[in-house]
Amino acid sequence: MAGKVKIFPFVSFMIPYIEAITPSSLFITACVIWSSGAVLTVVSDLTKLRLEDRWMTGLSIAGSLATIIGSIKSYTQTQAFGFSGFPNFGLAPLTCLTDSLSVPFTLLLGLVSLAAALATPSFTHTLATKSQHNHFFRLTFLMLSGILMVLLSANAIAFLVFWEVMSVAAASLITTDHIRHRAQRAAISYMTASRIATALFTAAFLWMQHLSGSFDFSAWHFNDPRALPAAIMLFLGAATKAGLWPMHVYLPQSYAEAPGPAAAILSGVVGKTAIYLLLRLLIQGNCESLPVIYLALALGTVSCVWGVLFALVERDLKRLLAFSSVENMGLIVVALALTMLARHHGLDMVMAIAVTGVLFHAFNHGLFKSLLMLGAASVERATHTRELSQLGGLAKRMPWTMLGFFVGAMSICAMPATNGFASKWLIYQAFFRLACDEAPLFDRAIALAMVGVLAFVGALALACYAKAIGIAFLGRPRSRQAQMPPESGIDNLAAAQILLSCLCILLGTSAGISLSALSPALNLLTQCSNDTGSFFPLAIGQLSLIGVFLTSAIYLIILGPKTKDIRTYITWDCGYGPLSARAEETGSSFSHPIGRIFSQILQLNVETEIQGKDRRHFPEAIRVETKMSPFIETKAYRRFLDVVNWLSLTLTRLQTGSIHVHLLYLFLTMIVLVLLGTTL
Amino acid sequence: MESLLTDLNRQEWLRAGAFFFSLILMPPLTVGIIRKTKARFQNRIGAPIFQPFYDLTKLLKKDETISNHVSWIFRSAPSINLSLLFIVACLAPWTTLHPFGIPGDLFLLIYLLAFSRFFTVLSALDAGSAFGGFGASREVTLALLVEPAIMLSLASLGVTAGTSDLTTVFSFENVKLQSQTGLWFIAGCGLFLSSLVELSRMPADDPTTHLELTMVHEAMILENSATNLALAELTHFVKIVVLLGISSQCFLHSLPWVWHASEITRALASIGGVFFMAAFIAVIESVAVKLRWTKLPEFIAYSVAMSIFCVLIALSRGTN
Amino acid sequence: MTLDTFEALSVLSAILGILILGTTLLRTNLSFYRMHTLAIAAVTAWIAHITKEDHLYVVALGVFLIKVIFIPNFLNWVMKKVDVGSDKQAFIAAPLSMHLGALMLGLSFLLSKQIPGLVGGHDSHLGSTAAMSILFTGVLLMLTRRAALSQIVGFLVIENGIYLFAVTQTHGMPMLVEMGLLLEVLVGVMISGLLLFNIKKSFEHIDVSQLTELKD
Repeated sequence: MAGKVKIFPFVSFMIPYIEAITPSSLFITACVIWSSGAVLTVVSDLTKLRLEDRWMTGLSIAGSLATIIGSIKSYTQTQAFGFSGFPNFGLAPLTCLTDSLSVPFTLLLGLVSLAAALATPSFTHTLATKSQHNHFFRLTFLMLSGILMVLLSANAIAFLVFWEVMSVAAASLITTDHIRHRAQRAAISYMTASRIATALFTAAFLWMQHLSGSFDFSAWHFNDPRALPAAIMLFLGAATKAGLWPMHVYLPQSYAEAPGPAAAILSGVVGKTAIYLLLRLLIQGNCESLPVIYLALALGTVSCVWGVLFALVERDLKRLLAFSSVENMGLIVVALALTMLARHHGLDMVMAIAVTGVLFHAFNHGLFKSLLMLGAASVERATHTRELSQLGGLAKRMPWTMLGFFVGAMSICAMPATNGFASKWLIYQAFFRLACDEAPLFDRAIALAMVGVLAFVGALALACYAKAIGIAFLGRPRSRQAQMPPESGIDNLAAAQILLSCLCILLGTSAGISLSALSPALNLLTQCSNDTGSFFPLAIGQLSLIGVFLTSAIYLIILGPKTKDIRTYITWDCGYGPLSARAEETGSSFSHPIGRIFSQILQLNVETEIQGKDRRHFPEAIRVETKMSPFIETKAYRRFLDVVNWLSLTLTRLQTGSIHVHLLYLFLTMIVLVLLGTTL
Repeated sequence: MESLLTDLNRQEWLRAGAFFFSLILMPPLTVGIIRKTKARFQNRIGAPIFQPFYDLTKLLKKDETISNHVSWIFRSAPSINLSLLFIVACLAPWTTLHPFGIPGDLFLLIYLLAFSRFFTVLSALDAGSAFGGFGASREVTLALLVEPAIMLSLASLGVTAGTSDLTTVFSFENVKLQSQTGLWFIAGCGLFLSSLVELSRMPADDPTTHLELTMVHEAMILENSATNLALAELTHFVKIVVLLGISSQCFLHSLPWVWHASEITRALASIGGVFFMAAFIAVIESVAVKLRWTKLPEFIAYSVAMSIFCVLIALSRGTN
Repeated sequence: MTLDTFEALSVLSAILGILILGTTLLRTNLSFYRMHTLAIAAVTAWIAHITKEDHLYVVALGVFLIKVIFIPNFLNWVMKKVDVGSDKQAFIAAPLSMHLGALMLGLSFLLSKQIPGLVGGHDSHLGSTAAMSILFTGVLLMLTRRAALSQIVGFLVIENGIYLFAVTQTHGMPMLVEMGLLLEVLVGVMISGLLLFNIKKSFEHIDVSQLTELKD
């Protein structure tokens, strides 16, 4: 310390001031910066003021930095603060709290929003009018402040208020390109899902308030059997927000239609708020009721398999990423259920590992999914398409995007030396330990089966991302759109991706050390005082060093010296003649074998039509169409919507339009209410 | 005391030396044995057992031709894959010579293998050839079906031993595992069936075929030539030795006398086991035919069934 | 948990029985059936060795001759005659029904704990597990397959299950009963094999699911 003071007298002069800053003031600063940005856009809409992208990006970055520093400060400092000046309708004042559980999530928010802000200038070129610019910035700012305050809320009322800010901003952010029908539909379904989640949350909160007499999260205990309905409603609400099966249908639409940087925040952070709430209430509130646990296990497992299967057969790059979010959310929820199960059986070690896995995987998924989303946005910006069948050969034209996407894909496939591996390993390990431990036979069987399921899902994820990279970035361009001029150096979007990829690799190679940082959160959640770093004993850093050393040695000694003698020639074509890019494997043909195996789930149908006289040997034209009708969307929800439509049509008969009838309704309602009030 | 230490050290170093010696020597030799046995079955004399060495050195000397569409993935994949497989070989318990007691975590091993598969698949897609694409697509499909079987077989061994560290599981020291003859045997069967598929051997893929449309592994390395091909082949050889070694270790653990044998006998038995498995593969390839692509899931189902039996045995521990 | 040799053999026979479910190729089914029954014959012989009851050796020999050698060969011959190689369109895909069978093994492990010992000191938990699992396997085989030949194999597997149960729990019935049962199985299989010819002749297929008019 003394050495440092000598070298940096300037810093030493600042230290008391820096130390005096509280985390809450930093978070509020971030909020104020973002809100002032939103206010500026309103001013700009009303006046002739034209907002430069640079200013807005600067504001955005400033807010993100304040959030990051605030999270680092609040690592050591738990602080409660509130907005007592706000009108609170006599319910409860809006109180907030910074503690060690919110640290990983606010830090994630800060990092992802920083990357998104960095990437924004590359994106805003595509927005035509000033009002679209303003709309985009305003809603991004509102959404960011909403998320931040959701993560800091200490009671139900504050949570609901900020939750609404976040959801509404996110929904209207999806409609930045509001002329397109697909964007409108996406926004409506996003809104519907948010509504359902909010309704379930509100009901659960009221139930808990009734039980405990307080709106404070810290006063709620879910180990009370009477809290079971609330726990189930909470879980279902969070599952809707996180996009678990069967509530996942809105995710692919909305993530695909949201503008690039916003999609990164949506997929990276917004879904995690649901996980945060589950951790805050169910885990911190000691929920250990078996119905919730098995519900979470079942939905999580189905989401894992379902999400990754649909991601595999998806043809749209961004929808693919969205479906893979469903898978990862499933994984996180499964680990969360395991935490509760381990607590139920009193297995402290398994519980600690599982909850660390939840925290770390949520954080990591936020990083690499936003990285991948930015990569997809970069591809879309350069080629104006997201269809895998139109892409190809981008590795040479967009080397930086390729690199970013590659690192993201490696992380999400849990390749060793990336952060995804560390968190997935923890989840594996937790299930494995449960199978070893003295738990009931049924739960051990489930745990061991889950190890198999996770291996299966991991292999599917690998296939899925091998397809995404192999079809979009490797091979030859499949259309003229993909033959665009090469990307020129590192632009903003590439810089954002490089930032996130560095984080992924860094967290992966130093997994043991970075995991130790989660110890306070673990302590808060489970009262275990273990060092979370000790859960991950693999020497992954040393192994990656050895790997890099070996690889470069083999390359330099064996391959390198011969580089100058290499002859380049066409790809092998059986001597048949120059192959066109149409002979390449396409996205759908790559995933076809797997699609056939799971054709029952995917409802995959292939129709082949061959025309010509000698159909077998000299066909004139062949038409092949693969059809996929996702069961949930086409059958289950369609039925449900039909019922709702029929019900609402029937109910409109009540609305006669006559004022007398309406007065009669009013009168009847009053009588019923009076009766209810007096008898209960 | 000091002399004891140096003695231990010397033993340890001797073991490590033997390990690295066999790691360099065994992969091509195993493939040589497979080819020789097959040749004898077909009433041919066949190439010498050391032919894979000569092939590799010849390939290393040649000049390379690559497709003009490839990117850095294709160039870097062989060296990355080879170094990954060397790491896997150092971590996995495929012989009893395992040096320095390096812990080899089950999940790490499986994901390291997946890592190398990821690169192989990508480098197959890199040249934009239709065959590479076929091979890649088939490889991920097979891996998807086989991976749960391998994971569950090894995990049930781990659950019985109470640790996910395979070095401990395979160390002939765990008393809980000593009496589990059936578990070891069934796990060995499951792993052997899975490795047949994973290694692109006969019922799944014909390694000697030259019809691009039916190949799996060969189709993926179709664009590799010379040095690149040599590295890819060597990687595959190492993978053969490691996977066969693990399943032969399972079979050896199911024989009670191996548990009481001396260390040198065990080491010799484990090396002999790998060669025996190689010869056994050759026998299978001589009498069996390659299955049709659509029939393969049925074949893999047998290895999955074996892994389910393993799980059942592992779960039945402690219930009575 | 250490296994007795006869218990290990009976579990092995259960596992081999489950493997019958894994394919629709009737030839492979029959070879698995052969191995499965061979294991059962070995169990019988081993029990004879333990209990020193010599008549069980004879029973084991009978099982070997009739069920391991004669019946599969006969069914192979029938198969060639009616020209049916595989059982197309099983109701549940063969791999899936095999995994189901494997889970049934676990289930029968749990169930067999509920069974009280039949004869004092003789009851073997794993023996009854294996027997029950073989029973389930046979039922699964009969339920999920269409071809009449698979039905016969299913019936034979069920019969094996019952036999194994008797042998492991009571250490064998009187010689006369055992031999009678064996002969009955033999006659049953031969009759059903001959029936197959007639079914094939009248309907040109041996798909059981289409024989739905077994009512007045």
